[in-house]
Amino acid sequence: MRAKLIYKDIAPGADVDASVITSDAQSFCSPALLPFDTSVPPIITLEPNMWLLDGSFKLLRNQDIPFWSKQMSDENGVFSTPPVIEIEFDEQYTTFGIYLRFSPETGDYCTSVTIKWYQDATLLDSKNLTPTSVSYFCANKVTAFNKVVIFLNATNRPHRYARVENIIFGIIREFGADEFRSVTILQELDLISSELPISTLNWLLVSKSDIEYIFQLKQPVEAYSGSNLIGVFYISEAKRTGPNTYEITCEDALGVLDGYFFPAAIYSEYNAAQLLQDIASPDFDVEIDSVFEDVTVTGLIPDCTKREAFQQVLFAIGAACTTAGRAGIKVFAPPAENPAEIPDCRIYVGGSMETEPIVTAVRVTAHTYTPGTGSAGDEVIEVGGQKYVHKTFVVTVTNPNVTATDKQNVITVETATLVNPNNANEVAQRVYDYFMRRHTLNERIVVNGEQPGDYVITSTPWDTIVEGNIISMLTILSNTTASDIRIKAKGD
Amino acid sequence: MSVFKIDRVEYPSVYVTKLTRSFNILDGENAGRVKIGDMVRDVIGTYYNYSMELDTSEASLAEYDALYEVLSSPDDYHTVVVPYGQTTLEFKAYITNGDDELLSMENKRNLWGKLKVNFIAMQPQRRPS
Repeated sequence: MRAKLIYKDIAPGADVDASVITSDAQSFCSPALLPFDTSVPPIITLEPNMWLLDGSFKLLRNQDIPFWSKQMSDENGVFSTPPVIEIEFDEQYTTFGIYLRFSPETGDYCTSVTIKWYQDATLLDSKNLTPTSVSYFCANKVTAFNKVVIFLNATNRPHRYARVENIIFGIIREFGADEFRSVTILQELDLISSELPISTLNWLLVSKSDIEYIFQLKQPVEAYSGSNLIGVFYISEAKRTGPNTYEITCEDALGVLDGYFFPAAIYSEYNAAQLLQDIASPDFDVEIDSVFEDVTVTGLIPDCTKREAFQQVLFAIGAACTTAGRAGIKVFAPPAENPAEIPDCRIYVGGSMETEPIVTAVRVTAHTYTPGTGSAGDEVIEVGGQKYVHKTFVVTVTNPNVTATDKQNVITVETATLVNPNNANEVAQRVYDYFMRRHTLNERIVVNGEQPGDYVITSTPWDTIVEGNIISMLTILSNTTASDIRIKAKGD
Repeated sequence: MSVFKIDRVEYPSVYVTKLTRSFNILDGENAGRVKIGDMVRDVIGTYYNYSMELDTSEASLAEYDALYEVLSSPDDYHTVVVPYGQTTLEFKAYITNGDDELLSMENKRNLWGKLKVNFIAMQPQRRPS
């Protein structure tokens, strides 16, 4: 299967920051959709040849249509007064150009476009363009602009409305195996979310073109094996090491969330799914397993990063999360039944099994936060200007099978501040159950859709059978996609 | 007409006395044996490599020296055109070594010959679809 990386060489955040202003759009259009990927089907109009009787054209029925001009072009396809689309930004952006997608479904496009870039009132640059297809990239590096004005001067067919579906501030580039080298993807998860590992993509680009790249932080890179999306990663570091050579390090959505501050707050029976959405927004969508729909959290999330806040919630409710195979974050209960088989014909020779020492007990600290100043000796914290008395107690789960020769090995969880008297026993039991799974199988497989978190059944190098959850995949992207996987085995 | 071209230059006075073609279907890091004994391939592509032994007896000293300088230049690669099937193949090839012999020295003229050189493909000429 052909491997590829799709690099969105775009100005990160420009799409959500963009304010689209135009008085030249039809009343049923939504120009605010222009920075986003919206596809418009062929729609019946009274323009010439726009009511094809083959069923492919649809009636206008509340479809999302970013932009059709109010006026039609003349018999030569020219507008006497060109429709204008103005886009303003709160921040300044630098891009190598602007990508316009007109109307691929009908084959309509503009043959003459003028784009002007501004920094406030100062005109930075202006280009007269002659697009020749329904998708067109205007290559023009402009630094620190915060306004773009686009004039649609003419259409490729006479008597047509100007149609624009999508405006991207940058360009989407696809790299195949002939341009990338040593692509490694590390995807990990923690089944009980006692930590929230950041998945990474490291790759080397040996570009065949003379284009100079300016890899910008948080630009997305999608990794594919064939048509299967392995994951979406965001640039965290880029280094040019030669005329056409770049070393790029990317992190997943959790890595991005680790760069944002999350302010301390006290929660009382707050819906956990809503809180997870609150934490991840506006950057990422969160898909949450329905079993967590009505679960609530109570306690404190201290000042921390958004990733740490996300981890506190997941740990308290017993959920895991992954960014594998998606642009956002999936929150789910790790499966423990109906394993998918990884057959011997996909397991490379070799492998090993690690066994953790016996855990003798698990101690989880539960927390309460009561409004007030308490009495002498009480620990009082202040959150959002409100004082709370902080009290703790410890829940212990002891391993009944410990023998006199076993070394004491106690797991303690003290800083999970959404663990409270109501969920402490459940959390402690969950942590204990996790640590009773002492064996981790390491093996290398040919990947066939496996993802971290999957519950699988497979064989060890000595042909015993193991069931468990995949907790990590180190993938070397190539024409055959193979991963070094780690499976947390069920049972002790 | 020259049997081969190097960097778009023909050498009509240089004849090829022996031309060997070989191919190498190279695997990537993910190739290996699985537990049931099957080989998992991770084909990067097919590389066609050429070895030549040249007859330069009809080339002038200047032509020979020019060819030698090109072949032994410290460049990453050359663009070569060589026979392939019933047509020709143009590809980027690197050269790491070659050899020739000093055949005679007369009147301050050094006559070199029996030049041999290997062209190794820089990148696969064919990649899996």
